[in-house]
Amino acid sequence: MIFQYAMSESTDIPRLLERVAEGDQAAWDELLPPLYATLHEIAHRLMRDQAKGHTLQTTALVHEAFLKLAGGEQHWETRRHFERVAARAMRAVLVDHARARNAQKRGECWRRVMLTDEVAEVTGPELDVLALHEALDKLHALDPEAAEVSELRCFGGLEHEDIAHVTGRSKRTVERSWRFARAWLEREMEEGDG
Amino acid sequence: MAENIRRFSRLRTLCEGALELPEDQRGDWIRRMCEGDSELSAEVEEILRRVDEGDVLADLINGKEG
Repeated sequence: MIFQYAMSESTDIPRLLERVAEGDQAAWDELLPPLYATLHEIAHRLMRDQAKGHTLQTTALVHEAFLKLAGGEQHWETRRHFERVAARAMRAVLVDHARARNAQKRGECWRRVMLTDEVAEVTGPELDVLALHEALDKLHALDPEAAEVSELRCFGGLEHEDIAHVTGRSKRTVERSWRFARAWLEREMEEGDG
Repeated sequence: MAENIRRFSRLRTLCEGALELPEDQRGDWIRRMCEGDSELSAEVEEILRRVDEGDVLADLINGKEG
C-alpha cells in the first residue's frame, strides 16, 4: 500500500483516514509523518536518475506535494480517493518541475549535453516525466481504466495488489491492464521523442 | 474521437487475445483477426514485442538500469 514505507505495525491508516474525514485534527497529525515519508520515497524513486544534487530537489518536490495535500481537501471519502489525490499531487509537482527544468535547459544546451554524457554512465536511462504525463493524458481519453491503473503505478508507487485493492478490481485485471498500458505508453513516449 | 476509442479498444482486445496464445500461433491469429488491416496488425505486433521485452517503464520508475 502507499504507506508501506513508513507505516508502523500499529498504524491503522484506513481508520486514520476515516477520522480525518470526520474532522479529527489528532488523526490528521498522526497521518502526516507516514504521508510525508511515502511521498518522499515515491519522489526519490522517480527522481533518482535526473541529475546530480537531486537529493535537495527531491526534498523540495516532496514539500510541494505534501503542501498540496495538506493544504487541499482533507475530506477523503475512501482510501481510493485519497491515494488517487496523492498520486495526482505527485504527478502535478513532478510535471511542473520537469517543465521548469526543460525551460532552464533550453538556455543551457551545451551544458546539458555535457552533464547528460557525464551522468549517463553512472545512472543509466532517465524517466521522461513530461512524456509520461502526456502519454497518460492521451491514454485517459482512450481508456480511463488503464490510465487510472497506470497513474497509481507510476505516480502513486503502488504495486499490482495494492492497485487492485484501491480500485476494487481483481489483481489479474490490474496486471493485464498494466501489461498492455505500459507497452502502449512506452511506444507513445518514444513517438513523442521523435 | 469515438473512432479512436473504438480502434484503441480493438487494439487492446487483440493484444490481450494474442497474449493468451502460444507465441508460435500469435502471428497467424493476429493477421486473421485484423482482416487485412496491416496498420492494426503492425501495431499489435509492436505492442506484443514491447510486452515481451519486459517492463521497461517500471524499471525506469524504479530506477533500475535497462
